[in-house]
Parts: sequence; structure tokens; C-alpha cells
Amino acid sequence: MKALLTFCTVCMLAFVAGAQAAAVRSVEPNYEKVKNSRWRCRSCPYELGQGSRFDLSATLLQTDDVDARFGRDNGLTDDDSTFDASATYFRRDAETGRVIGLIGRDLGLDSGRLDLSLVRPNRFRASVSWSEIPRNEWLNARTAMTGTTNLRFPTNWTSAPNTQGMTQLVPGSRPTKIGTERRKAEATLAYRFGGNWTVEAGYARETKEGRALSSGDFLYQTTGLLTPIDHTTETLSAALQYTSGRWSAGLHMRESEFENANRSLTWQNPYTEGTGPGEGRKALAPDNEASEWGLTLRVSPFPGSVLRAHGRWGELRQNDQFLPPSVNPAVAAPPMPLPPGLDGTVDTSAANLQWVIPLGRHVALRLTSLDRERDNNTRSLPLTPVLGDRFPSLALQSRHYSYKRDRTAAAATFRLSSKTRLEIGVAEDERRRTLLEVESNTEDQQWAMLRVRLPRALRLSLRYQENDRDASGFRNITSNNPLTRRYFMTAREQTSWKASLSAPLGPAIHTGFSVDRRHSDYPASVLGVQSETDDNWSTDLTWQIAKHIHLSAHRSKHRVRSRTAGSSTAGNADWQGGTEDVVRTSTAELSINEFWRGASLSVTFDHSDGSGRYDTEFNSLLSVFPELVSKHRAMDLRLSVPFGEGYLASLRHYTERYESADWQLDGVAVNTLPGMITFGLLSPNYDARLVAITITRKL
Amino acid sequence: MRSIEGQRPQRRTALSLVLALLAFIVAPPSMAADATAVLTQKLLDGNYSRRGADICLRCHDDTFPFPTAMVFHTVHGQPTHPEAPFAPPADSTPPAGLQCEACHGPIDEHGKQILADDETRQEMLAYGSRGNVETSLQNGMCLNCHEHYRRLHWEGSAHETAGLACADCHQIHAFVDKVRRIGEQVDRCTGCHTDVAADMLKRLAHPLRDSQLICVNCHEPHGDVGDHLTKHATVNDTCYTCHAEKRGPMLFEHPPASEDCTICHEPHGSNQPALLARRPPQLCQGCHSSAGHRSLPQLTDQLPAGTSVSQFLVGKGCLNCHAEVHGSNHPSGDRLRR
Repeated sequence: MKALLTFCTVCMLAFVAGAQAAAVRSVEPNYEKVKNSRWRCRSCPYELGQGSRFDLSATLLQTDDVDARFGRDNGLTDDDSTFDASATYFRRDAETGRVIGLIGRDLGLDSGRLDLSLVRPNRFRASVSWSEIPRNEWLNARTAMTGTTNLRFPTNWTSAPNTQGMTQLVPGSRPTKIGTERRKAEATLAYRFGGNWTVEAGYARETKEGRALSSGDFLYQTTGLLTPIDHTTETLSAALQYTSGRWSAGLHMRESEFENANRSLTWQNPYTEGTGPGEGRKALAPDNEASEWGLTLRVSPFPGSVLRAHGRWGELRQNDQFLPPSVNPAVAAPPMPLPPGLDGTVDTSAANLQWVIPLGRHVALRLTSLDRERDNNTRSLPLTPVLGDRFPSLALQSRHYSYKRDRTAAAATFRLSSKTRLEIGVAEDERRRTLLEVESNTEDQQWAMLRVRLPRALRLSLRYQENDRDASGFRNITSNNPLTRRYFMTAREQTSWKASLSAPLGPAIHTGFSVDRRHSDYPASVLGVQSETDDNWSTDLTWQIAKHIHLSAHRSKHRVRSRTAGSSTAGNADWQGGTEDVVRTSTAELSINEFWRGASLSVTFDHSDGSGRYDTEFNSLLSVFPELVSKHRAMDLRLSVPFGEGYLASLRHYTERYESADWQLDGVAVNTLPGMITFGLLSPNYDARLVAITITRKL
Repeated sequence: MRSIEGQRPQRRTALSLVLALLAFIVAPPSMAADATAVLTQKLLDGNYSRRGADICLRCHDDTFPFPTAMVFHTVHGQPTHPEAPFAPPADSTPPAGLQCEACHGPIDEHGKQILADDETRQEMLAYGSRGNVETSLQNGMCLNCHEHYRRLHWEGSAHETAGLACADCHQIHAFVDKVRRIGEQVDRCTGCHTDVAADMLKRLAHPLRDSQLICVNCHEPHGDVGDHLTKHATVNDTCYTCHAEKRGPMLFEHPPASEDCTICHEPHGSNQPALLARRPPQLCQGCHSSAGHRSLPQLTDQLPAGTSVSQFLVGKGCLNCHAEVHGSNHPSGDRLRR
């Protein structure tokens, strides 16, 4: 209420003060005097006939000392020579305006992409695309297990109460590659008819295959597991839209189906037999379906005013067959048989209402109402979980959470002059949840933003925002320490500000500087997160040194800090923990174009230094963890030289050095932890090189 | 609503007022006489040329500092497109068919062949970095034709209220509009979003650097119904596009995972594994009591160099056992371990 009062006061003050302005809302140009019936444009260099371009590239790549991280997204994970090809074809028919485009990128790599499109402007657009996205996580994860969905140790496996006694663990472990490969095929069609109507349809099928890291436990003894990934997601979408001068409407639907080829993962218990189950089994992601319908309406009741409404209703469904509570035959069946599947349904909805209203020539008001709901209608089931496939625990009811968010906002933009705008706004953001310790949060938000576009391309922007989040009374309904407040739903006071300046230093030099800070306090959290601070600054420079020489550079620092209080005894706070992540990034690019017979050269440097500091203070004893380190250095040199008729030779030399240290990985071999078999992962350290020679033929 | 959980500090509501006053102070003098007013009036007067682009191309040829011929290799310069500026006048309705003047406004006195000594040439509407009028006027000219499809949500969107002009991102007089090209879009967007440019180089990041993923896979830059200009109504709906295995519903859910992925994850890049905001166990201890889980190094020096390494602390921390943090459909998955 107080925020709203402030908002209204400031609005009135500015309005009464009569901010001088040449307000420009959408101008309706006057076409009444147009006499263009005789315009011919004889000097216009129109395309004639069928103009086409065809570029074909063949590349030979050589990579050395690669690492999973180096080839994480491009698939280059082997020290080897690789052949790659790219092609671009474009043809426009000047008579019909029809355009055919074909773009193929990196067709010889695991990160290839192919797009084919056929367009007739103002009539239709059809496109088909196929792409691969690799995700290489590790090349050297060590495991002694074999199998895909039923993981087994070697036949000579020696069970033991802890990893130190497992004599076959170290010699039996071999390196294995962890990662996934996505393949996505898409087809879309858009057709315009009757001048105002457009219909769109699309289909996408995405597969993801590979292995991911996971783990499975037998109470306090756990094992790193390779989880098979064999996912398929199919999505069908359609939309119908109508657009006229004053109003537009659209209807859309989307159906999506997810399938997992594997339902469960079973693994052999490597720990001492006799006291525990012989194996464990966990559920993998269940098949699920999602449907969505949406309606959008946009009306312009009077010039400059826009009223927009959007509603979306959806449903998530899942009824995958349940696994038995335990794979251990020694555990008695639960007293109450389970239904075959969850038969879970979640109704989702989202509604937006926004009204942009010009108030006179100086002020524009923006009113927004937003509603989001995830209503979980899944029935609660009585269950008797089996702990670690060993013994049944206490009976319980499954809990299915629902969530609702309502946000109402009002913002006013004042045109103080044609170059200066001030925006102030207030909002109330309410979130309600079922079955959780805090039933509702209400956050009052208020902000002010000033933007100035001064002469000579000088731009200044200042923004300040305050958010105060209240929480309803705490309900002690879980086994968590009741002094703990979960940071996403407890009271929070947050302030944030941002300032940015963009200015030319001369006719060919432009620079920008930006700094921002966000700080959050959690005053009600005796235990849990106490505070978070996010600082960021960046500066950039672009310099046109000469007509064909261009330099750009960027430097930034991002720091995130947090403080957390905890209890080691389920009582009051007896320890404090702190984290501080700092990442400094510098990039620079120098490009020289057409310096010799049309040759071009570019050199790019990337530096990114990350550090993570962690400490805990317990009984006045401070312990600082080893620093988390990541140092990324890359230099990319590209030289292109045209030769012959329509040929281009390109050379690329790319080097990337990466050094890292991670106390959670380094020094933890497969048998370091008594109660856990790890993958013996090591932080990546490499000095990789890529040399590529490309010949491009332009036809 | 008063805080039940704690005392709220005194609000600094006066700041809004201070900023408002500051705006008055720093605001330059009235710009009523600037190009915006002049060019707005030109649009309202509507004094278009008699010969169209033939007049413009007399001066704006290949020797001009800003060559214009490339527009004839784009959709704007196609005479076959009935709604394009260069559509045949007989088959089109203004602004289609108005050639250069469709976007740059009526020529009026700009085309005067002879200027007096102290006379400057009347301005025409210019765009982007050469822009000489307010962005709302620039954008209004574009929206005269393009206010359909994905531009329905432009007014009031984050980019519109930030004063962005269409030509700040799009190149019209170019064979390829770089922001629409897969290999170049990320560079274009991170020119302003420098924090995302830095995120891309962090220890973990979505594959933006090599353009396997591009900005419009998740965002709708012309404004949409979602938060943060996401393509779908919620952040989670957007994430589920690729991570459908996490959308559920599950027998046992982890409430923050169902509510908002960004409670735990940083979507563009992070110093931590799995794009986490902090790493386990610290991240988890922000909500969950650590009692019974010896994860303090002071207790027995539980780091690898120590004598009693804790599985609650190293490796994947809490996830060494509670691996199914996005939810479990196993009847014994109540603690997200199965």
C-alpha cells in the first residue's frame, strides 16, 4: 500500500511539474498526398532472373591434447585428424520472390547442423532442420562396473565393509567416457492467407543418448553409477493468428511426449554381503506427456494504447508403471498394494494482462497482471518406503505440491525530454504453496530507472530496485530443524542497483561501462542462508583504428558471496559458512579486413579466471577449504585469403589452455571415501590445439 | 502486509523521488526543435517525392559513405513482395511501394538540388547508430508493417522500455541480417548483455560459445508473455523444452525444482558444476539442516588430505546419496535416493 502511495505521488509530481517533452507515440504517417503511380525506379539495381549463391567448404582439422571440456560442445574429444564440411546455398527467384536456402554447418563433426528453408514472402515459409548437440562430460571417469541398466562388478569381486577392503576396486576400474549426444529434427510450416490470417504448424523430435553420472546408496554406503540416457521427446505445435490494423488474436496448441527407453537402473551391492541386499534398484525418469492451449488477444483501443491478454492452459500427465518398493526379496511386501502407476496430473495455467496507456503527451502507464499456477491433482498414496533396499521405514503419504503466483505491477514512463526517460514502478508479487512450511510469500517491489540519451551517442542508464518479501507464519510440518528457513520462501529484503554509461571517445572509438549490485538479507533465518551479494562490473571498448582495422575488448568481474548458518546438532546455530565465487573475464578481438588481395585476419583472445572460496567456522575455529580454481585461456587466429576464381583458403589456429583445481574431485580416488565408490574424477587440465585448413568454393 | 517472520527495516522510498528530481536536473534543455519534432511533422505533412528512389539514388550510390544498393538483395528491395517498400505501386498500399520513403519518411525538401550558403540539408529519418530521432519513432516506422507475428508483445516489453531501436539489432541494408544468423546471433546479443558473454566462458555453461544453442532457443527478444523474455510462460516451461524428463509429475517431488529451476541453477553459466548457484553441500544447506551429516571440515579434517574423508562433503556432496534431486517416481524415493 505504501509502495502504491509512493508510486502515485511521484506520478502526480511529475505530471504536475509538466515534464517538457516532445512525446512521440506511434505516428500515423500521412499518405494522402502520395502520387507514386508513375514511380518506376529505373536506377534501382533489382535482382533479375534467378540469383543464387553457393558456398561449399571442406576443412581438415587436427586436434592435440584434447579433453572432455575442450570438446564438450563441439565433439572434438580425440587427438586426431578430422574432416569437416559446410555448405550454404541460397537462390531467389526474382519473378516470384521465392527463396530457397540451405545451410549446413560442421557436417563432419558431432555438432553438425543442417537447415533447409523455402520461403515465399507474404505467403508461406517451410523449413526443415536437423542438428546434433554433443555434451561430453568426462573422458576419464573410472568404474569397475559393466552393463547398461544392470550394473555388475567383475566375477572376482571382493566385497568388503568399506572401499579399502575391496581389493579388486582399483585394478578392476577402467576409464570410461561420460556424455550425451542430442539429435534434433524439426519441421515448421507457416502459411498466410486472406491477407490477415496466418497458420503455423511444427513438429520436433529430439533424442538424447549416452550416459550420465549418478549414484545409488545402501543407507550410508553408496556407489557412483553410470546412468543410461536414452530419451526421446516429440513435440507437435500449431498456431492460428489474425492481425488487422487495430487488433490481433492468436490461438496456439502444443502436445509433447517424453519417452525414456529405460525404466530402472539395477546395480550390484559392492559392500559386504550378508548384512545387506545383493543389489539395489532405482527408478529412472518416467515417461510423461504435456499439453498446452493458449489464446492471445491484442487490441489498440486508441492510438498509442495497447491492451494485451494472454491465457495458457496446460496439463502434465505421468502414469509410468511403478517399480516394487524394493528389489530385495528379503524385504516383506508393503501391507497395502500400490496402484500400477501414479496416474498423476498437474494442471498448469498462465495468464497475462497488460495495458499500455499514454497519459497525455508526457507519460505512459503500463499496468500488468500476471498469474501462474501449477495445480497438482495427483492423489496422495499411502506408502511404506524401503530404506536402502534394506528395511521398511515408517508409513507415509505421498505429497503433491501445488504452486500459485500472482504479480500485479504498475509502471509509469515519463518523457522528460525527447532524450530522457524516467520510469518508476511498483509491483506486488504473491506466491502460494501447498504442503510446505511457509504457505505464502508477498513481495513488494519498487523501482526507478532513468535513461538519458545525450547528444553524440552518449547514453546513461541508472536503475534502483527494492524488494521486500514477507512470509506467512512458519509451520513445523517436516523433519527439518525448525529453526531453518528455506531461502526460496522465507522473508527477504533485497536491494539492487545498476548504472551503465555508453559513450564515444572520438569519431571511431566507443566505450561502455556497467556496474551492478544485488544484495539480499534473510532476517528470519536463524539457520539457512543469511545473506547473498552479487556484484558485477564490466567495461568494453570498440575502436575502428582504420577503415579495415577494428579492435574490440571487454573486461568484467563477477562476484557472488553468501553466508549460511547451520547446526550440527539439530539445535541452535553452531556454525557459519561462507562462499565467494569470483570470475574475471577478458576478451579482445583484432580484425583486419582486405589488407592484401582481399585477405582478412582476425585474432581473438579469451581469458576467464574463476575462483571459489569456501570456509566454515565451528566453535570459533575457522577452516578454509582449498580454493576452487579455473583458468581458461584461448587464442583464436583466423586468416582467409581469396585465390583463383571464387576460391577462398582459410587457416585457423586455435589454442586453449585450461587449468583447474577442485577440492571435491582432486585427491578423491575410486577408493578414497570409505563409504563411497567414486569415479576418480580429476579437474580438467589441458593445453589443447586445433589447426584447421578450409577451402571454400564460391559458385 | 507486515512481516510475520521478522521486522522490516525502514523503506527508502524517498529514493524514487530523488531519482525523479535528478532526472529533471540532468535532463537537457527542451528538444522540441530537434530532428524528432521536425521529422514527425514531415511524416504528418506527407510531402512525398514525385519520382521515388530514382531521386535518392542520384546521391546515395556506391560512392556514398553508407551504400544503399545492398537493400535490393534483401526482402525489402524485392519488387515481387506486395508488402515491401519496393513493391509495384499499382499492386500495393502505402507504406508498401513507397520505396526509400517508406522507411525514411517523405523527402519533402531533402532532395533540393541547390542549397543556400548557410542552409543545411533537411534531415531524413535515420536508424540505429545513425539514428536522429527517438527510438519510438524509429520503431513505429518498422511496426507500420511488422506489427504481427512475434511483435505482438513489443510494447511494454523489456527491450522496448529499455529504449532499444529495431535497428540496434537488425541490419536492413545488408545481405544477411546477422542477428538472424545462427552463427552470429550470440555475438550480437552479448554486445549489450556482456554479463552473459562472461557467463559463456565460465567453468560450466550452456553451449552458446559454439552456437549449438542460440539466444532465441530460449528467449523471444520482441517480448513475450514469459518472465525474462522467455519463449514460454515460465522459466520451467522453457527449460522443459530440452529437459522434458524433469517436468513430471513424480511420486516424490522436490518443491523448488517444480517451482523454479533458477532457485538452484544459473542458466547462462556458473563457476559450479551443473550450472548450480553454489555447490553442494553449501547449496543444499541453504534449506536443509546438516545435522547427522558430518560435512564440517573442522570436525575431523574431512577433506581429501585428511584422515577421515567425508562422503557428505566431497564428490557430489549431498548428491552422493540423494541423487534424484529433480524428483523420484520410485515408491521408496521419499528421500530422493531411489
